[in-house]
Amino acid sequence: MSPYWFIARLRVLLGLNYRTEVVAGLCGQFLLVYASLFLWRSAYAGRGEVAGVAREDMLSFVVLSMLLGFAYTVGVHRVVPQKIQQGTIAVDWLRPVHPLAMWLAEDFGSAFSEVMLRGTPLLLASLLIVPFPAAGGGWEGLLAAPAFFLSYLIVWLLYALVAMLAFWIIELGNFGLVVDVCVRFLSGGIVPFWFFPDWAQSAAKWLPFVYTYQGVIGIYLGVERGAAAWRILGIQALWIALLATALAVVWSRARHKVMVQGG
Amino acid sequence: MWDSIRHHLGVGLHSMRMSFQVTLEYPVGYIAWFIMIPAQYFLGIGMLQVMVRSFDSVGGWTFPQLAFLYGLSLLSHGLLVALFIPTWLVERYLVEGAFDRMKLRPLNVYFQFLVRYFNVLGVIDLIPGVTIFVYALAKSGLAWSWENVIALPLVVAGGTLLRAGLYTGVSSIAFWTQRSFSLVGITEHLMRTGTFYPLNIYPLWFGWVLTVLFPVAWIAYFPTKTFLGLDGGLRFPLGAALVTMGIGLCVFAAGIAIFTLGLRRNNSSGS
Repeated sequence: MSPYWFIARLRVLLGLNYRTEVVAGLCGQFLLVYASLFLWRSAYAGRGEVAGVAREDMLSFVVLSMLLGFAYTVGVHRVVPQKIQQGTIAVDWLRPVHPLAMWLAEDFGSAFSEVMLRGTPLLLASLLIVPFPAAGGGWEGLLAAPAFFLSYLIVWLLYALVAMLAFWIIELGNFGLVVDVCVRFLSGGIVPFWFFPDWAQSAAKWLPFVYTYQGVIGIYLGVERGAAAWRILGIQALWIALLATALAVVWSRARHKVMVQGG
Repeated sequence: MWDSIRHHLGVGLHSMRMSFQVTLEYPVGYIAWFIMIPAQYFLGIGMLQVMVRSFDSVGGWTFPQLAFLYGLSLLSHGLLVALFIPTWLVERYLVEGAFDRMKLRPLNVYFQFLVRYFNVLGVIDLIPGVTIFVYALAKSGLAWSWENVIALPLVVAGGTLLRAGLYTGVSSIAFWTQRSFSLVGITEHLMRTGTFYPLNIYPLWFGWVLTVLFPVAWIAYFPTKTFLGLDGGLRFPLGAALVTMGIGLCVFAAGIAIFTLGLRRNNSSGS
């Protein structure tokens, strides 16, 4: 079995250990989804479509956005600074695997665990309020699968780049929180950019965030079809190439900054 | 009596000074919070603005009215985070055995529990609250009567006590179960759900839950309706201020009672 597969599997099993936290977290998340669904329902009151977005599509968007929130579970920005502070980063270098690939495998496992343990029950609970968010646009909705995979890599690379800062500033604090806010809001994950003024929509296209939540859900719901869907996939690939190159450069320098104290 | 109050105040201020010094020890570690906390609340209200721009209103509320609600809620949230953050942390203090030390000192345990850590970062939470509320005051057409001038601080103080009481009660469940942090998380979500948006967007039964069972609707929703004279606003002396303050005091007292009960059955976490 590949070591990376094993690492991811360990993370899934770890997630199963904290059942109480999972249940409590579910209740809290459900409250947020519940509030969000009723907020949008109330906004659409008496209207079928606003800014080209149908009411049903928007409610589906809320549920899918919640699911993606679980799928984008990333811990590299917390783990790496902690390991640098405690000196345990040295152990990661001694392992016969690449540290970056190992952290990515860990996060894949955590994301899978979050989607299964929290996302799926919440999806089922949301069916009490809204119908199942069905794919629109026929077979093109299937493009949402590769789009999701690529979007995960974009999100992970963003967090990994932030994590690298810890090699230079040990007392950095949780800078990943800043990325959290950027990803959540600038990705259209809460209010899609379809409702924003034209200038904001144009500006968002120059940033990687909009190709995560909104890009993936837009393809799934059939709001982005044909050439537009393929263009999103292409731009996602470009962002991955750009961010991966940046990470490789920063990583090559960061490795020389590590100083582990103690015997 | 006065000596006791002076002594308690002295201890509280000393603790506050120490917390401040600890924060200043690693200032870089707090940069993320300085950016993140205001950003998330400003973006949150920004999202409501985008919605209102597209839909004209949300639940029949205009943007200045929503900003008033959001800002009023954030003010009491900011004060809670600054002054009462230990109310979230009973579980952690139990695990650390911190209550053992508190019980040995000749000072009220709940008071020690509250002043053990003054959250300097809580002040950051007040920045978006004050900014958004000042904007809402200018745009929402609030009448500057003497009643409102007295009522506003009372509502904020009552809302803060209500929050602190709820968190104290929920967090104190750890005295029986050893765990409560996840319940505190749910309470936090409940606060957001019940105080950032108008209650009339929810089904009636959920509105009752937020009004009676977990009365967070009194923190911002009912006061906002009364201050702005919105349909169905309650009519009480000094608006909803006295009601919010009254409920806040009751919930706070209930929270302390649960804490005290829990503390009585608490045994040391070990040597």
